[in-house]
Amino acid sequence: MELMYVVSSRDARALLPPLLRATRRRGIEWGAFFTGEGAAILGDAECAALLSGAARAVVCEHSWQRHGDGESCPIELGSQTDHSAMIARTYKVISL
Amino acid sequence: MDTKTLVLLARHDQTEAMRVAAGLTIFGHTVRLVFMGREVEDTLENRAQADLLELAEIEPRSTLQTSELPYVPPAELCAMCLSADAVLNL
Repeated sequence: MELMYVVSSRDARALLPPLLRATRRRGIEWGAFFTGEGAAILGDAECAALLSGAARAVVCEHSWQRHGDGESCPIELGSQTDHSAMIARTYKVISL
Repeated sequence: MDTKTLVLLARHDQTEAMRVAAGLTIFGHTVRLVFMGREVEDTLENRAQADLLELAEIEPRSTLQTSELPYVPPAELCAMCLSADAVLNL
């Protein structure tokens, strides 16, 4: 992947949608990994919809259980192993 | 697959930062973990994660001169971030 967002903060709720829209406009291959409190952002319908354009979007299952809203998860559940693997396959990483 | 040098800044959630740092080593990345701004809290969760760090051969450092962890001065932290492939902030 050319670009990967690592989302670990609730504060990214406002930052992520415009960044994802801009990323999609550029037409590059991108992905996202959610961990810690960043998992809570997936309760935002707009964010979840934008993530459908990702090459791969994964949330740490442990973090989803801790910070998710209890609903079904809108993206792939994974682990820190997925996080490590995705970073290995990514050119640029942006931490939010 | 490409292993990277990663700097992980533990600013907000210390426990999560340790968990993520240890996990990142799974695919062979070099991970440097720096606690910023406050002492590592002595909790059961943090002790468990500290054991994981040891297994992952990560030697955490701190921006606090008074910390029990090795001190990383600002200039060195800056150089560390500049030379990293990615800087993660937790």
